[in-house]
Amino acid sequence: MPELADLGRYTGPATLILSSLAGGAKHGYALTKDVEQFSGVRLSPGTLYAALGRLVDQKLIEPVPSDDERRRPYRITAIGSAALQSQLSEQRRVADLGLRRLKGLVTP
Amino acid sequence: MTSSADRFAACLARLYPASWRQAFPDFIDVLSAELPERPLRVVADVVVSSTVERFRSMGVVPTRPADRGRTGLAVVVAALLPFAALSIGMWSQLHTGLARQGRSAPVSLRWAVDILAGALAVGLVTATLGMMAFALGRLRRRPGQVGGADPRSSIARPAGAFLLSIGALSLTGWLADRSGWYSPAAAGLPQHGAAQLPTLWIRGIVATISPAWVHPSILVRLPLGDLTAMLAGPILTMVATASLVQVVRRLPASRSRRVDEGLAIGAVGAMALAVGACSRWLLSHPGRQGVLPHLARTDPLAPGHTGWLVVIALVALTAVAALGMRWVLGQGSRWPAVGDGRLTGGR
Repeated sequence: MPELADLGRYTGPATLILSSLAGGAKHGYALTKDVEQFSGVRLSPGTLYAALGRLVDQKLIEPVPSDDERRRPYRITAIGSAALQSQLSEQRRVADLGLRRLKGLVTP
Repeated sequence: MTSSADRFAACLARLYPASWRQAFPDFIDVLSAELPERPLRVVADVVVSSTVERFRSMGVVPTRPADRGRTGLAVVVAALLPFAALSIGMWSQLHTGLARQGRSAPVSLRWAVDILAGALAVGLVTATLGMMAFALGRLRRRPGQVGGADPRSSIARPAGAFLLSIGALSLTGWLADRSGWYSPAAAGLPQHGAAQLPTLWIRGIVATISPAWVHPSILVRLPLGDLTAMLAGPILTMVATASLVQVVRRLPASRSRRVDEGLAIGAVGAMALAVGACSRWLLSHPGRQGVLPHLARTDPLAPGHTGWLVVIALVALTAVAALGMRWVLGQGSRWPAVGDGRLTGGR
């Protein structure tokens, strides 16, 4: 199964994009707004579409057939859902570990 | 109505390959919406991303992690090609200078010339072995084999483009050779028969490395043959290199990763050795040609502007090959990310 870590410097943007698409199919502009709303990160168009291209190559997302030729929505695939699940679980594990250790550092 | 942001966005989108623009038709809309709010950041991001996409479409940057090994080897071979041509030119120049200086040349410099020749031989043998490994891999390829060539792609077009560009380079070298302008880069190489062909090819490439580029008054006085070689040489060299990259990428990977790794290490090692030999030459003969021409006449081994430019080109090509070698050696691994066991001390 492809892993998001294989995307190198696009791992971060790819995680945000997949998290957004987990809520439903979206096109580029809607993705930018949604990611900014839930994470505070504003993806630049070059980075956004570079990450989209790599996610399509890895079959983690796929374009949705649309009548509008100028707007192409994308949706997450089953492989993409599994890769996102794995990536977020890892991030949660690291976050939990860090928080536990920080808690241990706080001494009265 | 089309705004200035829309027009600028359409211009920026042209930095991407046409196939990429077709795959992402809504890119321009997102770009024109973002441009007015943070223009500098968006433009910088687009310039970097589009450059990467251009390189990806040329096959110079791996498109998938599985492609890294293949692309890396292609980059090594592509860097080795102009490196070999420039180094042979360099060797010829040194050989000619040593012959003029006779026994007064330092022994260490004679060794440097021998090391340069040896490193070149190793590099060329490595490249030949690499090509043979690819050819064997193609012959033995089974249907559905992982790492095999894409059946939709053909090597006929890039191979044809490679041969045509090499042929054109030889022609420009011939024009330069017949112009009457002396070039020490080709003086020590075969001048007759079939062996003259690589000499002309090297003459064509080396003619592009000339201080005349920064001296317009010299540039306009160059003979037509040299001028043609100088102008056409860079384009033809780029076409030859890009075509070779495509050929290597479209051939199947060799069956053993160790073979690929050995070839990449051998090629980069030979290139580093050749650069070391050139450094020995530059350190012992810094050269004053151009600034004090009368001193250069007394020292036939002075490198002059061109020598320095060639060495800079050799160092740059070695750096590119080292990047390719890094991809070959790291083809089985992946980039570490936050949450990876390697960063957090294991799972």
